[in-house]
Amino acid sequence: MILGKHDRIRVLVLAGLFLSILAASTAPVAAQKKPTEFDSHYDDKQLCSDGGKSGRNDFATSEYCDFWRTYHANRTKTDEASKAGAKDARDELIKYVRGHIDRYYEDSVNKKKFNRNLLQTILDVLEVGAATAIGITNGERAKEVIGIALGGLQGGRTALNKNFDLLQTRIIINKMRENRAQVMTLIVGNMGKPVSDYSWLDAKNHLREYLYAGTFSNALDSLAAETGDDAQNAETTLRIVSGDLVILPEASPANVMNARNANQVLDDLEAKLGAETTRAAALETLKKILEELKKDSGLNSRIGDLSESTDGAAIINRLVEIRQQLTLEGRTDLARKINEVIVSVGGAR
Amino acid sequence: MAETLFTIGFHGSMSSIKGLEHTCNENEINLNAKLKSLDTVLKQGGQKITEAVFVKQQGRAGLGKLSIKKTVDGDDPTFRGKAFILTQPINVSVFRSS
Repeated sequence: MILGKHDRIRVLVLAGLFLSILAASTAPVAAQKKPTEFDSHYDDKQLCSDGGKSGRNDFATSEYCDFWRTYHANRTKTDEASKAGAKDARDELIKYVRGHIDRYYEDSVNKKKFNRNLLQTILDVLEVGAATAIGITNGERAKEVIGIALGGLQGGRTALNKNFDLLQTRIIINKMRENRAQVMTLIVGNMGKPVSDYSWLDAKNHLREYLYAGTFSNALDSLAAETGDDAQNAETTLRIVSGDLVILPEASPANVMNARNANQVLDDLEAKLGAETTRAAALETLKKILEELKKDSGLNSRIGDLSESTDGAAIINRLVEIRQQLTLEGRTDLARKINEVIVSVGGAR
Repeated sequence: MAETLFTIGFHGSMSSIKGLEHTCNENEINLNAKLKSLDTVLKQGGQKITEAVFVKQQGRAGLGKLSIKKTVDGDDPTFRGKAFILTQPINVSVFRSS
């Protein structure tokens, strides 16, 4: 059957709209710009150089570069003020970059939600429009064509909803949130450490993981990988433990060596306290250890007036108790400080 | 006399079995206690945690001398346990050298 001029126009308009929707539904979401700090072509030194190798001349004058220069200038120095300065600058860099990553994540997720909602709205309007057009159009053939187009539109929409279900999108976003929270817990747990144990580059690598944890592809990979893991967990039925359980950080080989050396020093001092000729020197060493520990604001109150004691064995026992208590409170940083001071003052073996 | 137990946790994102070994050894010394068990648990909220139970000691002898390996058939460890390594549950064998 040959269509009239108006019918042909209607069919063309409907076909055009249908193709537009298909194009809109399959078009990739425009990529958000990754934070400049993670430009894979340049390191921090290049990004913060005066020439502005990042391609943005203003970046060299950013707060990021101010913090990085402070960190870079102090990170290898050994005096307390420089060490504290480097640590502060590293922590500020972490907070600064975290803010950028969070904004990137929010923009990305919001844009995905917006695109999906927009597409659903367009489909709603078209469905209603096509249904109305059937009612007001003259001519059986024209109605038949619009009806077929409407059927195709509804079929396409069903497939779209099936493949990109809102619930599935929600699950992926929840997975992204979980992954991001896990990486951020790791970063925050390391922020109390000195830069010798947790450098800015360590932190930046973790922040990069934090960035990728907030991407859809990473969440999909993670969900796929955990399918097997969850099945195994279901078999072993994992116990749920109290939320108050103290979580301690991973130790490095240097941390273990320090702890072992500290115990060795304490053993040596204990042996010397037992001999008349070496008792005074051992007590003197213990007092020096206590004085050094008292310089740390976190330890000062715990040491108290222990340095006035003349009972060397009691001092050693108290030091061990304080270290134990700090560990149980999750203050591994202070327990490590005790080991460090015992070794540095008492003499490493 | 009843033994005093200390229960602590390690992140499920522990980087390696060697990292777990270092962490257990350091905490044996800092807690002045011997590692008794390792298990995989979920913290309230769903966070994966390796739970470590230590027994308090009077002296310092023998602390921090653990070796931890992936469990293999026929090994003869001090005890066997489970730990999360890079968030994956792994069967581990804990050896104590004198």
